[in-house]
Amino acid sequence: MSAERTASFRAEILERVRLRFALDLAGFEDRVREALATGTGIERLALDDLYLATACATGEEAAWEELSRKHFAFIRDFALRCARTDPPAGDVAERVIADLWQRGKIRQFAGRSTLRTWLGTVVAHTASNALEARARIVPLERARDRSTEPETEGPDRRALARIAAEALRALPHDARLLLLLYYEQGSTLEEIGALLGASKAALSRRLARIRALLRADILSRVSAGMEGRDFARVNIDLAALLAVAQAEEKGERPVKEK
Amino acid sequence: MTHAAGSPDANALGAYLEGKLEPPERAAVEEHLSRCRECRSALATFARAREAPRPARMISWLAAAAALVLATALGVRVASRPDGPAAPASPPARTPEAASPMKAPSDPPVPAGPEAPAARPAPAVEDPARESLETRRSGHATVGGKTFDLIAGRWTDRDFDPDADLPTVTVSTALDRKDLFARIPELAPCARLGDRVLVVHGGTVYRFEPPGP
Repeated sequence: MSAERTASFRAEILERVRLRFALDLAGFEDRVREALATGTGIERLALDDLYLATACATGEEAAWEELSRKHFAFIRDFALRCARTDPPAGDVAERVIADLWQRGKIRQFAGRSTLRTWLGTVVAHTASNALEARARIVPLERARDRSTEPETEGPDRRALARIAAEALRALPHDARLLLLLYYEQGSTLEEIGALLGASKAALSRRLARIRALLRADILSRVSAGMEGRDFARVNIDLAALLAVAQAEEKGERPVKEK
Repeated sequence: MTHAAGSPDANALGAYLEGKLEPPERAAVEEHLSRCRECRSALATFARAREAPRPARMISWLAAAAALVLATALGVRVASRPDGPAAPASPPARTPEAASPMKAPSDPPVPAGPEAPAARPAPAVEDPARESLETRRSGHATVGGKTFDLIAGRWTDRDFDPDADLPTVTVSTALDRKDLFARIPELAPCARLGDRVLVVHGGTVYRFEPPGP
């Protein structure tokens, strides 16, 4: 860091230290240096938010009041949007707040994004884990149905699923991410567009190209393993096949939806 | 939050979501997301929540009622000052209807008070320089299908709802602008409206500010 840059860096930090909370300057500088060590430029760091988080981590009461005033309502709202129903949303929000407060998770904030986005990712991850845990609890009736369900996945179907999984792995990572967000996670094109910074129309065209590419790849792999058989009759329902392929990868036995 | 080995932490994911990662790290995060179902699920949950309408809460109605009182008071005050400045050309005060999450964002704003001027549509002019001048004078502008009002020196997207608590990205450096426009080209014409612009896009508020001293 040049002398001029260091001076401006210190001035910027001092300005924040002078303005609020009785926070040790050296402690904050250390946090900034840690964040800079990730390769993020100082101009990209959310210094105010990092300052607030650092003050909270040192137990500054006024800082916790500010954090609570600015962000706790957002945590509850965002948890409700993530979990979609009240009881798990309340659990998620309270767990996130308890983690920040009691388990010192606020110390992990590095200022690489705004505190609000960071909190949003923490809430989303917690909600996603909570929803998955709930989904694993299968009601007794359904469990019984599954145990007595006849084997519906024939060997050809299983082989096809393995081929689909291989073809999926062979795709470029950005194409695979788009396909899986759409088919596996059920994200809409608008949601994916907001994440990847692309328009709905562009994503739709791209998705069509990836589907065609994947179909062609699956067919060519199938044809290689089906000498003399009429592989043109293989009907590829891509969405269903991807679900089976993903289940295969996870080591789960795919269950046919009723 | 549990992470599989090698998962990006919430800091990297947050920076990814705000478009602040350099291309190599961005590619590494996307590579991981394409292989890790747990992280992908969290990302999809985040995206779904960001795009979802705000849950209805009692506080919204209280805020709407407060805005109604404030708007009425401001309107009456502006109208009752004989030697005061003219009412602003744009309607800066958000009406309760406009502030309400139940209101469609495309609906035209209602004037702030009884004496406030009616909202005028953005002028349709051919010459871009003339258009810029005209839009500044009128206090309204339509860019890329979005309508902006000039409020307190800031071009503000009419879709912006201060009560919505959407994540906000502040963009002040030329580098940030360049990166952002590479990802979301639709924002570029909006940002060119002026030094200070506030745009809502994909459930995120982008606040364009002039570079600091």
